[in-house]
Amino acid sequence: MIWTFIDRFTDEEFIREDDAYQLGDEWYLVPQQLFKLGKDLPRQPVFVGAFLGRKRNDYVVPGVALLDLLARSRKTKKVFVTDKAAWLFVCKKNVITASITKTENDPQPGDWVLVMLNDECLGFGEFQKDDVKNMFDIGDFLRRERPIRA
Amino acid sequence: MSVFEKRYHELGYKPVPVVLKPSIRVNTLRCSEPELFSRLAAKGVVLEKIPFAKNGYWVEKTPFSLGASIEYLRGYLTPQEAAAQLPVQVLDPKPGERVLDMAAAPGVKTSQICQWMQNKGELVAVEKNNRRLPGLKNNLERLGVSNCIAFNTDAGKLVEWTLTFDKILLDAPCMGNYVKEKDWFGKHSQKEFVRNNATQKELISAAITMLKPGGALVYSTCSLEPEEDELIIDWAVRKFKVRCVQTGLTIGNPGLTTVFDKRLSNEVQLCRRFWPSKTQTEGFFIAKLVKA
Ligand SMILES: C[S@@+](CC[C@H](N)C(=O)[O-])C[C@H]1O[C@@H](n2cnc3c(N)ncnc32)[C@H](O)[C@@H]1O
Repeated sequence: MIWTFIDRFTDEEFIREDDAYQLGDEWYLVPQQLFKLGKDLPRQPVFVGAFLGRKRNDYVVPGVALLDLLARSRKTKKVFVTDKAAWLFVCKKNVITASITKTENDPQPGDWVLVMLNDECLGFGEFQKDDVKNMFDIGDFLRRERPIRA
Repeated sequence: MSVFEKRYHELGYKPVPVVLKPSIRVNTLRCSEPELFSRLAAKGVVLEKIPFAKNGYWVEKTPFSLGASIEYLRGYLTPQEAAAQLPVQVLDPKPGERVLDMAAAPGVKTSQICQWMQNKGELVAVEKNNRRLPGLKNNLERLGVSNCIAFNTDAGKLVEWTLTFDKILLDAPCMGNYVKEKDWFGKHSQKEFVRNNATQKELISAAITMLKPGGALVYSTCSLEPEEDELIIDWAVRKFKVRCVQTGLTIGNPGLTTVFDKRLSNEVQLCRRFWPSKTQTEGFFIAKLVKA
């Protein structure tokens, strides 16, 4: 599932299938050393390495590590947005075309694109004629849970 | 006057209310300090370096909530109380080491350990309470951690795994302190530290067992009760082959060596005790032990 997700953005192979590890409904990018350590332990971890994403219903919710890796791929389609649109986007809003300052790799309606503020990825959406429909943004961190005490 | 206030008086401290300045830690795994500093300054945020905490800043002024900013969401910073930034600094984990965080959620110090390790080496993090796992996992993700393996289990039982560690952080479960919680004096009773003691002793003995010879253990709490602090360390240095060493901190008072007429081992004074109105931080206690 995670591979189909990645394929929607780029055909560049930037994660080796061997390095990605599925843990229940989640995927991680695991350094060899950590993988070896985990294999010898009697219990399943709840988190290991860098978090790539999780399955939520029939969708993949990408992790920040995956978004940042996608953003580094030269072939990924991207839209760059204004400061104001960036803030609205992380508040779950769509991006109107007028707020797009630049695109990369010629996105067409129906394509999935990363939404960027300069070189920072804020999430992704579906490129449409009049806007980019918000499909995931990093404001999700604030919406997931109420913070708990240290 | 509450029973706790009376106890503090006996220990030579008059508990006065303290209003904490909000503070953050810059997460250098994701952003450099000068970069974050100038970026926030451009938005009207005034930060002041915390002189005793490596990547720590007090937030003097901010026109918006830093916890709801793009900088926060991108993991460039995390709110972390000034004293709470110090246990990891005292532990001083290095890239390539194998480190254990025995009481991890919500993972603020876990991510700080990875920051010190520059995401290189292995950090094993353990949290017993599964309701606290989402918070731990979100922090590890947001703060760009990639060298941590986390488990939902009782850290006291970890000895069965026969792993050994270069360094261990035991940020022990404790009863907190009056600065951290409104009406703390009215809400807590002495029964709590009696209950916590069993866990604290179990965890510290497990930690010492899992430490490599010459390895370092940092024991910390945000409690002001000697039963959760100096008395635990006194018990550990008498029972195990460990010695208490300097923390390298200049803030805080030496650990108490006389507690309600009980005389403790001299080396306990090498610990640091944070009486809130003296340090302008929350109540805190930090000890560093080295295994023979
Ligand atoms: C003071 S909090 C830790 C805060 C954390 N170190 C941080 O900086 O974000 C103590 C944690 O220990 C957990 N805990 C309590 N008993 C435990 C045990 N036996 N094994 C592992 N974790 C335990 C608690 O659920 C709690 O999350």
